[in-house]
Amino acid sequence: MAKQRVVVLGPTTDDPLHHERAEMADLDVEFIQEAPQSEGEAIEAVRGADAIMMRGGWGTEQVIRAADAAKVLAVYSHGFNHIDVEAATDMGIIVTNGAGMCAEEVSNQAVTMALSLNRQIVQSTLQLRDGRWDAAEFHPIEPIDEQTLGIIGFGNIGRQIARKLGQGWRMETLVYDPYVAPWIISEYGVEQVFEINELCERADYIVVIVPLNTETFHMVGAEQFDRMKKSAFFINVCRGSVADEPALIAALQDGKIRGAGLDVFEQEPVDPANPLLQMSNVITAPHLAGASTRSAWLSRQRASQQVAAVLRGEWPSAGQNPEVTSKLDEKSRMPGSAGLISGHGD
Amino acid sequence: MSPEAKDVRVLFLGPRGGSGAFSADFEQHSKAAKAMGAEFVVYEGDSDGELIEALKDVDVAINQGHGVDPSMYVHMGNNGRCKGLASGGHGYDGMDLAAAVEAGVILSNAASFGTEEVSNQTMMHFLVCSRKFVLHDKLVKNGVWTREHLAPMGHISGETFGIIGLGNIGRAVARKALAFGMKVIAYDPFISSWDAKEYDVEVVGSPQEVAKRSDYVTLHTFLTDETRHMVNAEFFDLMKPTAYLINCSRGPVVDEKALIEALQQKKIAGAGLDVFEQEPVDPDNPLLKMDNVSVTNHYASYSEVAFNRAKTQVGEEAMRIALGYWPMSLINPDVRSTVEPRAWATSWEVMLAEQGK
Repeated sequence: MAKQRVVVLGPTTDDPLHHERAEMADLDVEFIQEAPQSEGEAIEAVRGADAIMMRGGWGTEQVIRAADAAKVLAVYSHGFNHIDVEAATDMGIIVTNGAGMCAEEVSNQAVTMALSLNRQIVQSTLQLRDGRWDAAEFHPIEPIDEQTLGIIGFGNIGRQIARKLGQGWRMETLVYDPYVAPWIISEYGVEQVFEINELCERADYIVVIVPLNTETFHMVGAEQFDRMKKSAFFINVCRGSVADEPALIAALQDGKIRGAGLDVFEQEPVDPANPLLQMSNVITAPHLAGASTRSAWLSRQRASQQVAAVLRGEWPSAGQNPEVTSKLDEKSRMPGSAGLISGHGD
Repeated sequence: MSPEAKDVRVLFLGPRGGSGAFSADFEQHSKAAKAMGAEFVVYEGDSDGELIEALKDVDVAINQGHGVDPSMYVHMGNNGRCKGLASGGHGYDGMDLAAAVEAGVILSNAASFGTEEVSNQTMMHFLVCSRKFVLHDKLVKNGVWTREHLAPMGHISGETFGIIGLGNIGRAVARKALAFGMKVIAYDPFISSWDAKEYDVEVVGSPQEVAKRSDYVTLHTFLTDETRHMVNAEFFDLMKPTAYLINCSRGPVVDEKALIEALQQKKIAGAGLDVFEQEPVDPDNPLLKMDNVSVTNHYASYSEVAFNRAKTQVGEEAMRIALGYWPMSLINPDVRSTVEPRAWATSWEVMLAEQGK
């Protein structure tokens, strides 16, 4: 049997691929690195590949439909909103992501944002740097253990945020997630609400942590900001377009909420003229919530393990399109995949 | 196309031989159907032929201890109106998952209904064992007041709690053991070390390592071909002579003969058992005569709250199946490849709103 071709799309073509090679050491594979500059080049690159590993873009329908031999498309990132999953499912390609590879990091970013907004660390640093000394400028500072946390999306990361801020800082915690099983709610000792607006009305800190898809696009919009308390803080560490950014800007300008912590924006890199960057009650970061020295290699290890599993004929632990099994022949459906295919925490 | 809620018919299959006598017992099961305006039908037949006929006129069936033979699946799923079976229990030892996938029959269970109860029963057996309660309760009640049997007795805090199976119950046990200040290790081939970090549990690579390192070993697996007798003579040989085995899962996960021998030969310090290989347990079973073994009669999952939750939950799962959603706890997920696409399971309250109720 010919070697299986693993095509790695990335920014360079001379990556040592240490983790990729290590995880597939027992398989007869060859690695082909491509750094496409256009969709056309990406189309050429994926043709005939048995597996595709993807850093960055190129997950369009055109490219996926050209992947005529691929069994798996592994993205290194957590989000896969840049991949046309429907086309992949139709082509019988399993799509995998880096599930869990940066839950620690992203949850810490959310916690950091919440505490920084509460203690106004960024603003007070700037004040002192400015040669001033005025604690009153930051009043009122509410005691966080008497405040309510609202988490929109209760997957791996949302649960870690609940554990850290809910259990650690003893914040009363509300969760909005229409898909979460009731027993996960009891396990974490949080209160579930069934309408996003109820969460917006009751929470002092609102953290959104959901995948971006057609259902979550602009799910926090003008109506939601209208419902929030004037004293509320909004924190987004998932994807910019989950919030309607013009509506967020308007809400901040009109004093409808007290501030925001943003790791992500609708346009990235963010436009330097974006009004959010000029607001003293908004703290920001350049989409680095997932970053750490560990997640850097863990995302490679995770993606490589997903590809290795599929090439061995197993269902991968982070498979994101279970419906694709209807396109696979029975043999490539792994017996005993039950616990994995049904997702985390089930 | 899935039916509208008002046209849905739910069939309730109660325990066999109980026709009529259990009429008061399906009120909780029927709540979800009633809330949606669907019809709830109680099955009163007692032959396979009658069941086949009954399944033709319903969208889903609730199996509450009725036992539905896998030969029924060909009359359901892709070949009939009845799209699936919502079961009232936890374990699914009697079902044929592959046959259900083949026929496109959706199967669900009452996942996690007794998580608090089973984990509490586990902690009770663990404390009773550790504090040598069975022996001392007996001694005191017999007028004997002595401390001569205390040693060896562990400190609990700082000791190692070993969990085999880190599902909902295993995780609840871990959380409680951590509250006692214990080190918690676990074997579960379906969980990654990164997920286990979230639960503050060290995942180890084999059941043998759990046996070697633990001061208490507790079992929280399903009973499957893989787990049957996974705790056997070899396992007891690896355990510390001061260690205890707790079993609140299923009796046959443990080779009971080997357990009795291990206790007789003092290879382990004792055991806490809610389940047995044969139930009801034989009154002559040597385990019942041992002062270092605590026993209960397979009621670990019981409380009124838990049982009512199970019954309500199974009724909701049935409505999800009937209305074209996936159930929250799909136990044969490969069926996704043999049936038409469905909506993701949503919380019951959300589903009611979606259905305009």
